[in-house]
Amino acid sequence: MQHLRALLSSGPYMPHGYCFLWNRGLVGLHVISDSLIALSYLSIPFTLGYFVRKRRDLPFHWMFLCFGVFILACGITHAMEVWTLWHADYWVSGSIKALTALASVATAILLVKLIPHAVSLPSPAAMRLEIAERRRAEEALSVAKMELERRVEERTRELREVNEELVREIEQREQLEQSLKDSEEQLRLAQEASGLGVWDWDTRADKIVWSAQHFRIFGFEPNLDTFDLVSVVALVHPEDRLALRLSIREALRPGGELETEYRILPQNGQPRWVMSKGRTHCDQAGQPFRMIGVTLDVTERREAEEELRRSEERFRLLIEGIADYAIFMLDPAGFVTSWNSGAERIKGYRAQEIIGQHFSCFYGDEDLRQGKPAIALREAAAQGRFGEDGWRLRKDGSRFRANAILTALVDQQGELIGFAKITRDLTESRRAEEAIQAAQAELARVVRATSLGELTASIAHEINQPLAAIVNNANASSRLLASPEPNLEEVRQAVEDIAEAGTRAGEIISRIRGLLKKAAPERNPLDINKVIHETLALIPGVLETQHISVEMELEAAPPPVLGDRVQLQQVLLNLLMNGIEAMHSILDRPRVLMIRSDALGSRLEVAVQDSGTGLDPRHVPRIFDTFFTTKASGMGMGLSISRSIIEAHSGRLWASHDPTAKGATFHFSLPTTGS
Amino acid sequence: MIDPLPVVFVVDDELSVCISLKRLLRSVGLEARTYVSAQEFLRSERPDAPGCLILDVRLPGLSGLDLQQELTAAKIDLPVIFITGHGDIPMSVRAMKAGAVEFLTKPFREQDLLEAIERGIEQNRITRKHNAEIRILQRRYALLTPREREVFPRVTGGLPNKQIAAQLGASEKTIKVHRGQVMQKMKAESLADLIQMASKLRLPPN
Repeated sequence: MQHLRALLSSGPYMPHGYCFLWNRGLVGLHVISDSLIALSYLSIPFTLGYFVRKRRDLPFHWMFLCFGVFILACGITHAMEVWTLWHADYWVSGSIKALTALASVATAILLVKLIPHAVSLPSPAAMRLEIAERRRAEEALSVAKMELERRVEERTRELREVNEELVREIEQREQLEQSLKDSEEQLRLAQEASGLGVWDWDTRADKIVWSAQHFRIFGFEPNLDTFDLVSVVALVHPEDRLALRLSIREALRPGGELETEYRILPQNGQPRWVMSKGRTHCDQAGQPFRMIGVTLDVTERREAEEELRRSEERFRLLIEGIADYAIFMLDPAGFVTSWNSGAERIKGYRAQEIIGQHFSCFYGDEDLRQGKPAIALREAAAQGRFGEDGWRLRKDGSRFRANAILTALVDQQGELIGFAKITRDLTESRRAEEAIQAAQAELARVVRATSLGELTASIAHEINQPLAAIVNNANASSRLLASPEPNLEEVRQAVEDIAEAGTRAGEIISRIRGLLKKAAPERNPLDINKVIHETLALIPGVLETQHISVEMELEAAPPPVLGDRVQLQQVLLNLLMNGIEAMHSILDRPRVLMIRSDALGSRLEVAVQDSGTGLDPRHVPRIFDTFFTTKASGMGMGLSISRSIIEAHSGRLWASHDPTAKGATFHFSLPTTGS
Repeated sequence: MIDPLPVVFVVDDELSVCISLKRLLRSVGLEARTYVSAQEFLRSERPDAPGCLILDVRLPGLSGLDLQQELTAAKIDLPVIFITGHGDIPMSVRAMKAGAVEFLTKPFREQDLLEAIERGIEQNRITRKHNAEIRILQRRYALLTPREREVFPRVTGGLPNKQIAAQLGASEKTIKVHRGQVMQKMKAESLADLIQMASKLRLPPN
């Protein structure tokens, strides 16, 4: 401490100014110069420090620090020079100079060592050149790099696009596969649903592959067998084999298609109709190598078509065969398109003459003037149907009264496709009606006469009604009159009713007489055998249900008898019905009706014999009496009426009983015309 | 009880027969109602009076014989006199077997008809009386207790009280009380009376 204090104290030395003798100029020169130097030296290290800090890249920058320290030290010595002008601290200033020297020497040594390195440093020009060179290279590099980057980017984009494309493609392919799967499934379902069998023929190897359904169509269980053409054709109906082979040969060409229907003979089954369709595939040279197609069972369709055809044929025949009505068709304009036999008969035109003609030729002049054909077409088209009665012309120009119905025919869309016309000849139908009525009246008369027993029962019933009323009224009247104060009005009423009932009874009887015989009995020459046959024809039902056989021994050529056909039929019918009733209870022997006719001189005898219960000899004398009957429900009128009819014919009716034969025989004889 | 006046029903499709019959019956003091079909008769309101039915065999629709069966099936107790314009033996047999009073063929004698009507009405009167009696007895019987209904047929079947008591597992004294109740409720004056009632009610013996 002592030493340091000594150092810091001025000691016994005089300030440096004294040396200058305090010459103001000299002192000032030193002060200003040393101060400026000190300030400059002190500022330099800061600048260097700043430079070094900024340029860390410079080599040897520790050198700059050394310079900094050395200049700083120099600066301080100059500052001490100013201080020592007034303060004689020479120890301090000397110490600082020593430190400065140390820094200077060190720096100088380091500098010497540094020089070779510093010399080897490039010059700034070279540096500039290099830098320019380097910049060019760098630029080129950067251009190259940019190019590369662009390319990379491009490639990346391309790659991405390709990738996306690929993804899309994969998706599409998956979709495609799915839809392929779907359509395969759909195809399979469609095949199953439609019953379509698929076949595939390798024509070069002659190998045919079938689908499961194809096997089933041919009546096989589905399996993996393959066929050749010959074995397939062997399954076809013999009549259709040739046609099928021809169709196949025809189809075996480029673009060739097979479409044919044929019958097959399935295993254990009825022949079936099938339809095969196929397409030929050919190679470049036009040679067929494959035919692929489908087969469908069309039996039902064929049968339906056949049925339709038959039905149409039947319908056509029916229409054509109708002779009582003119049935024909017109096109929408009224031209004849079809013609049946009835039309030919009624109108006189033949089909080939009239088809294509306009139907107005059936109308008379007056009707044509009034435009009737056009009206008929218009009305029928509008209403669907038009009917009228009117005069029509035949081919020969004659007129007839007709009833015509025109019906519009429309297709499914409602379009008019023509008309059906039905014309009836009214004159003819009127005549026919009269004939029918006459026939019916005749039939009614015969039928009523067939069951005389029933008829008489109903006669009795009808007559007994007014008779009962008469008796009741008469009884009531007599009682009323017997009373003390008779109600005469009531009696009058009763008597009136009696008169009315009596009249009614009379009417009933005359009505029955009318039923039993025609007003004027006819006398016509008759073939009695024919009358017998006609009578039998009235009762076939009874004969059958009663299991009765009829045997006949008839005169080969009987002489005619004069008589009323219907009355004689009544007599025969009565005899036959009696015989049938007599055999009703016969179970142990055949029920036989024997009918004979014999010409005996001037008379003709007819006999009806049954195999029934026969006649009781006691009854024989009375059987022809009116109201005599042996039957539970009989009236006893049949034989008496029959006898009166025969007697009116100048004939005779009698019964015979042959004890040796079973049953009864009734005979009648009539005079022949010759007598 | 005084019976109302008898009514004769006539079913015949023949109007003249209906009118004349009505007139004839009125002349002998009988009320007659006429119908022209079986259906019309079945649909009609009939008075609650003794009567009989004059029925034509042959009717349109339901025949006379059919109507007779219908009446039997419907438990309508009305004696039937058949009339017919033309009858055969099987038809009349069938009708008589089915309970017809008479089978007359038109035209019939007045006497035959009136006799038949008289018989028919009398028969119907008896039936109605019988039915009325039974209805009264049934009403009385309905008043009996189940126990009394057990005792009733045993009493009328002639069983002594002691035996009835044994059968029904009761004391003789109790049975005596029941017996008295039955007699009283049925308004029977004597045992014989009660026995008649039992037979009219068709009670099963024991």
